[in-house]
Amino acid sequence: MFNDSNKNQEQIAIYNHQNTFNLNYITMKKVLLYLMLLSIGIVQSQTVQPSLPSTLYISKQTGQSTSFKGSVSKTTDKYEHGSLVLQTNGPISITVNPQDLSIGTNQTKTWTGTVKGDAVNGPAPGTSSTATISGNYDTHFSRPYGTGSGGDVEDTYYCAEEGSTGDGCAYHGNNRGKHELIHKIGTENLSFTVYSIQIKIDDIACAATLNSDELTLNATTFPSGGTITWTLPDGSKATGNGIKVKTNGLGAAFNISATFEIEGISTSDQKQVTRNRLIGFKLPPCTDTTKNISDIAILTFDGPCHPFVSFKPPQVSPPMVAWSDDIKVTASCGGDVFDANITTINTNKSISATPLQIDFGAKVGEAIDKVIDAIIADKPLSPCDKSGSLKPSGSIILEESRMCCSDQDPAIKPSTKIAGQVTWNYGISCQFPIPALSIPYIASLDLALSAGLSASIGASYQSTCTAGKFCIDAEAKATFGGGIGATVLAGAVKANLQLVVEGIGVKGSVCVYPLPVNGNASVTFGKVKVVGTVTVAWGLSSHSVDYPIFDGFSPINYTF
Amino acid sequence: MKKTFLTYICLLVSSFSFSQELPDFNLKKSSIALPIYMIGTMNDKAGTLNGDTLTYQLKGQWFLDNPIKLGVNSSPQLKNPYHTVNELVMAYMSKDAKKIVSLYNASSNSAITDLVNGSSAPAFLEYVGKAQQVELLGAIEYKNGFMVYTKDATYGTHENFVVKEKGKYLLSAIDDKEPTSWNIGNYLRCNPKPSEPLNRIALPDSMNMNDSFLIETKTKPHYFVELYTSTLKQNIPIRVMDNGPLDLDPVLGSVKFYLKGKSFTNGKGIYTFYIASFNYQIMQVASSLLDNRWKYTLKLY
Repeated sequence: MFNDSNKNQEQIAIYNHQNTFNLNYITMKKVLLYLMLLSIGIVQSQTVQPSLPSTLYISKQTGQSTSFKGSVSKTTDKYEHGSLVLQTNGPISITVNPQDLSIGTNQTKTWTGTVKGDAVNGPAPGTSSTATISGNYDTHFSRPYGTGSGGDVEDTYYCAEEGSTGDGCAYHGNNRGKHELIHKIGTENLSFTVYSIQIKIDDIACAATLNSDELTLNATTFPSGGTITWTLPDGSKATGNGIKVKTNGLGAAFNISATFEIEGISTSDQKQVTRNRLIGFKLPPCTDTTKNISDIAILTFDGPCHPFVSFKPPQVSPPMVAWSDDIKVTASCGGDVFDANITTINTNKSISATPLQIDFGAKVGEAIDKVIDAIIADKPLSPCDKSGSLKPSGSIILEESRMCCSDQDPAIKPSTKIAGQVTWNYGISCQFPIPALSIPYIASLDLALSAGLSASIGASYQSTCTAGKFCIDAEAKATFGGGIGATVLAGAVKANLQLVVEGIGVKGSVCVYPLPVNGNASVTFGKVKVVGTVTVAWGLSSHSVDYPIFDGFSPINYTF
Repeated sequence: MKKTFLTYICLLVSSFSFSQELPDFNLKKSSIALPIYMIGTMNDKAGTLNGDTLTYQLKGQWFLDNPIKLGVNSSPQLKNPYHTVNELVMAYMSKDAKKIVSLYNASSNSAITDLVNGSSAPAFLEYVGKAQQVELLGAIEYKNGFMVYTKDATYGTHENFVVKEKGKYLLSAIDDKEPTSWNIGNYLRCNPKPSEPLNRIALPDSMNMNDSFLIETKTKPHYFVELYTSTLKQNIPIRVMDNGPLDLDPVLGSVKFYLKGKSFTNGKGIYTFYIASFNYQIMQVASSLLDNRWKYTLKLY
C-alpha cells in the first residue's frame, strides 16, 4: 500500500501541470500515472481532483498532433487488487500497454500509455473542442481505520496481534492498529482541450501603394503563441509579425508564405501578391497654389495594384515674379518613366488695372433733380444751384490676373480682383415761392430748399472659378429740406418756415462684376410740407403753419 | 369743389353791397367751403372734411362779390369792427403812427408801439402806405373777437383781429395756433375760380427723356398754368404762375415754360396728362379741375 505522503506529492505535481499548461513528456507521465493510481490504488484518498483539463494541438493541414506519453508501476499488498476500463470521448486517442489494466494482490505491474489528439476527427482549423478520458474502476484495498471515507467497508482487522509490540504496521508506529478492508467502484474523468491550429496571412492583395514600395507582413494565428516564420520572395526567412519587405523589382507577381508552429506541429498559409506597371501619367493643366504632385497626378496602371511612383520635382509652386510658369514633371515607377507638364499661375500678379466707372451717384442725383423739378417746376434757368459733383471721388479698381480652373476648358481664366472705395457728395439748393397772407404772389416768400446726397461704396472681391457676379448694396444718405428765417417786405412779414420731407431714402445695388458695371437704385420721397410760423405786421397776426406743397413720389426705380 | 363754389355764390347773394358806406356789422350763421388741394390749406378739425372740400360752419358776413372800399370816410366812433378796420386803413394811408397805436387794445400796445415807433417804423409805414384800393371782404366771429378780412391791390389779403373792450372795438395782436382763420384767409387770398379756358397748346406725341419742349400760352394775369395727371402715381406737377419767378415771358398774361422729359418721374412710358389754368395752385386732381382742360398723351422714350 502507498503512504499518504507519496500520494500528496503526486497531487501537487498534477496541479502544477494544470496551472502552467506546461505540457511535456514528464507531465504526461504524471497524468498517466495519476490516471492509473486514481483508478486502481489511490482512490481511497478523497482529496483527489477527479478531472483536470490538459491541452492538445492538431494540424488538419499536416495531420500532426501533440501527445502525452508516460509509464507507471504498481505494487499491491495482500489486500489490494482491482481492475480499470478506460474510454475516450472527443478527438483524442489513448493507448496503454499492457492493455490489461487489472492487478492482483501482492503483484507488481508496469503500464506505458500515450494520449494524443485526433487530427482526422478534430475540429476545423481555427477552432477547438473538448475531449475526455473516463476510467471505470473496481478496487479492493486496506486503509487505516478512520483515515478515509468512501467505498464499502467489507471487513476490519488489526495490523498486529493483540498484546504484541513492535511488529505492527508503519502507519501505527509499528504498533497494533485497526484497518478497514474497502471495496470501491467508480468513474473518474480527465478532460482535454484540443486546438486545431491555423495561420492566415493578412490581406496583401497589392504589392505596394502609391505612397510606399514596402510591404508589411502580418498573420493571425490560432491559438496565440507559437512561432510565425515567413518565407520571403527571395527565399529568406523572417520570424514574427510586422515584417517589412521591399517589393520594388520583384516582378508582376510573387508569393509570400507563412508557417505557424506550436508544440512541434505546424500549419502554413500562402498568398500571391500582384504588382502592376505604370503605363500613363498626366497632370492637371494648371495650378495656382503649391501642390504635391502625388496629390494631383493622374496615373494609369495595367492592373488594380498601384505601386509606388516617385515624382521629380515632387512639388510645384506658383512663380514668384512671372504670372505663369510651365513645369515638366517626371514620374518613375520601377523602370517605367513618364513626363507631363503643368502650368503654375501666380494669381496675385496683376496683368491690368482698370478704374471702374460707377454712375450710381449720378442716377440718384438725377432723382433728386426730378424731385426738385417736381416741386418748383422746371425752366432752363433753374432757381437751383448745384454744388459738389455727381462724379464719385476715389476709385474702385478692377485688377485682372489669371487663375486656374482645372475642371474647365480652357483651364486658365482671367481672375478679377476688385478693391477700393468711392464716395459721392452732391448738393443742390433752390429758392421758390410759398404762399402767405399779406404777401402778393410776385413777392411771395422765397423758401430756400436744399437737397444733398452722400454715398459711399467699398468693394473687396476676388473672383473664383464658380462665382460669376459681384454686387454691392449701397445706401445713400440723402438730405432734403430747407427753410427761411427771413423778414420780407420791410419787416411787414416775418417767416420762420421749414421744409419737411416725410420719408426720404435712397437704396441701390451696384454690380461691378462681370463688366460692364450695372445696378439699380430706388429713391423714396415722401410728402413735402411747409412747417413754421408766419408773422404779419398788418394786423399783428402770427400763425402756426403746416401745409403740404408736394404729395411725394412712390419709389422711383432706376436701372443702370 | 362744385359745392365750394355754390356756397360761395350763396354768400354773395346774402351779403350786403354798400360800395361807399360802411355796412352794418351783422354776422349770421353761414358756411364756407374750401378746396383742400389749394396750396397753403392746412388740416383743420374745426371744419368738416368731405372729399376734397373742407367746410366751416360759423357766424360771418361777406362782401366778396362787391367788396366795400375802405379808407374813404372816417368812422372814429369805432362802433363795430368795420369802423375800427376802416380807421386803421386811413391811419396806414396817412402813416399816422399815433393813430395806429390808438386803434389797438392795451395788451397789444407794446407790440404796436415798437412797430410804429421803433427802428423798423419807417419801413413799416412805407409798406402799409403802399396799400392801394383796400377793400373789406367780410368778417367772422373768431375766438374772443372777430376776424375781419381785407385785401388790397398791392399785397393781397390781410387779417385784422378785433375785440370789444370797454364799449369800443379795438384791434388786437393774435398769436393764432389754430388753422381756421389762416385757411379762410388763404381761400380769400386765392378766391378760387373755376379753371380758365386755354387755347390748345400743340405738343408732340413723343419725346426723348433728355429733350425739352417749350410751351407758350396766354392766361389771365397772375393765373397758374398747371400740368397734372389723373393719378398721383404719375405725378407731373408742373406749375407756372403768370409773371411769377418761373415764367420765362415777362409779359403779363403770357406764360412760357419748358416741358422736360426728366420731369416725368416714372421714366420712360406713355403718359396721359392735362393742362389747365387756375387762379390758385393745386395740389392734386379734383372734380373741379375736370372742366376747361386739355388732355394729352405723350410717349416718353
